[in-house]
Amino acid sequence: MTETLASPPRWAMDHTHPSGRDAPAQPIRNTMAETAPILRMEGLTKLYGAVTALDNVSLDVARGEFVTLLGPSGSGKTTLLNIVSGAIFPTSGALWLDGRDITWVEARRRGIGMVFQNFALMPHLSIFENIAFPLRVRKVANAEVKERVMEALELIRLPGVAARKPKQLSGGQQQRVAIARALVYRPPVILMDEPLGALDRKLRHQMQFEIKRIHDDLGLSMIYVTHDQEEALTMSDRVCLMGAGRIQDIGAPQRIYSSPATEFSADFFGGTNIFRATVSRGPDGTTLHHEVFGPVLGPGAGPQSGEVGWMVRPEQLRFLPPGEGADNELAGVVRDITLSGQLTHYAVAVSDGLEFTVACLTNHATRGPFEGDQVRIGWSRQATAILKPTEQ
Amino acid sequence: MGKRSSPSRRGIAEWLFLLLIGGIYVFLTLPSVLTIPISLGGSRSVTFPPTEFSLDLYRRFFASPVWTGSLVESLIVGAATAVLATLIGAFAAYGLARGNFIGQKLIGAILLSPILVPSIVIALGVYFYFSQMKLIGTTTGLVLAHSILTIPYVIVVLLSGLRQLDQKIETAAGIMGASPLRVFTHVVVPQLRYSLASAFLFAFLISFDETVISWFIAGTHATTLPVVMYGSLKVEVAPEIAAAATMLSLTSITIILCYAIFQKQEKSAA
Repeated sequence: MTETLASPPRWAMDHTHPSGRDAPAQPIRNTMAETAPILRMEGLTKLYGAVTALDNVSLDVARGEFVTLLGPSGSGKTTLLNIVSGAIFPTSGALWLDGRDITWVEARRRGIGMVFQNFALMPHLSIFENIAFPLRVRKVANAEVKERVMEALELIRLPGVAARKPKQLSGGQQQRVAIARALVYRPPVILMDEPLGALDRKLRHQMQFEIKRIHDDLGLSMIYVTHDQEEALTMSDRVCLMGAGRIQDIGAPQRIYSSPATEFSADFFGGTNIFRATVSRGPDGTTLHHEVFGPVLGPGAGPQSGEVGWMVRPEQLRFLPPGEGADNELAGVVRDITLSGQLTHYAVAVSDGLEFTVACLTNHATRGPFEGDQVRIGWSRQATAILKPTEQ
Repeated sequence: MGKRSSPSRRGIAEWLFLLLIGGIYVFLTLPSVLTIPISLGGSRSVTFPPTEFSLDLYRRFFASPVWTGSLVESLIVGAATAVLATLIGAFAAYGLARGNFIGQKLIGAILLSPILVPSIVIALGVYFYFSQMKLIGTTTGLVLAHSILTIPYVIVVLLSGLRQLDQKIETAAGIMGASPLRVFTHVVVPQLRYSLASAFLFAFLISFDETVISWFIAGTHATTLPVVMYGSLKVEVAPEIAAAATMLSLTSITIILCYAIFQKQEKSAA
């Protein structure tokens, strides 16, 4: 445990250790239960001169959990991943891996697994030796190396490629080899840095299932970085949405999509139909008052007063046939129709400058309204999501 | 002009331009090319064009211990210099390319500076310095002096090779537990093998035909082929010099061809 107290190594690329501050004494954590998080990040901050790349981020990753760091470029997700991998060191904050303080531990002594966007396979080595590399470093006996590499190749469903060189494989195959290489030494946590970014769309879908299957089969703890919201929602147990160096929203994909906590979050997941309103409490829940639409019914729980942002997802809106009603109703004119595959988006102007986007499943038999049609749109009060202002 | 412009449809300006390039090319290579027929012309008269065909000059070259001794010395110095310069240059280039330390740029500039310093200045400095250390007239002295001269070229070749490598591979190796030394020996060096071979040949070539510094340091014991050639020109024009010059050129051409092959291999491997 002595190395946990060591300052960053001198050769390291980056050492902005707070001057003179000793790492805090290691608390005794012998009582750690299996339920304790495998990875704990506490108040991680990274400054580059005057620029704050990461601002006081705390996050626990449970054993066997698939956590996705999602966000636009510059949101701090890659900085956070690099701090966990040991490529850079934080300006302040602490990091525990399985109860061990690894804040200042060199990358090679952390024992974490990592998969990169461009595969980072060694071009001079065969697939077998690529996967065997971490085992060779650990001086594992030859017989066991062979057994474990073959096992890993089975797992990624590429048993026949051991003798080939990386260049002889397709992009998707190379990335599977990179995953096998990250698994083969059984690291406690596996990091994936946009692993599907270099693959084409169809292959990406396949690989999403493949990674998810491997995760589920082996019960891996994973941190997955992506800027693709669909990927994050499909694969994760929890999505951690990052922006401006902070966690903007964190939760299960279902929750984070249907009722985003912040305006940033609402905006990131296909930000349309976001408005502001003043809160007033009605007899049966929150009522918002919009200066143009008038009263808007929201879900039961919510803030008591003040001005808030609110949102309704395009697919939660529907065109109301004559004689049918909804919790919230508005009349408007169809301005524009866009077909985007399975969904058709309708831009409906309800008032000068105020527009809703309505998304319907594309249906050839029963066509929706045409451009210029007068329509009524409606949505249920549960579909109204009330947002906290974005922290800057 | 269409996309498929044939040679016959080149404009006058284009032909003149080609002629100019051809002229320059001939002007540059003719002096070295001329030594080939002269070296095959026999020993009675060193003239161009040669009046007879004979390998006599080559026989005389290999019969003379002065000439063969200097050729062997050149090969030994060239090989030793190439090994030393490639070794030092590889570590230096890796440090400059991947490190992040105070004074990095300054050290880089110092390492590359011998390219800019006139070789006569290096020769003088090395001469005074080596006199004190009793290295004048020794093979060790020649190797060390040639290493000073060749290390910058090795570094330049290797830096460009390192730029082609995906740095993430080294990061990945580190995360998988490899020590910095293991990353260098097992990950960087194997990927850099063609650049290393190129750098080695380049260093050998520079050392093999280096004259000025060798002239100062060679003394009477450690004379290289160019030094003997230069010496023989000063006293009387020994006819073997044509044979020596031809062999020097052919060695250089062979090495440059190998160098080109390695560069091509490197491109296809990347």
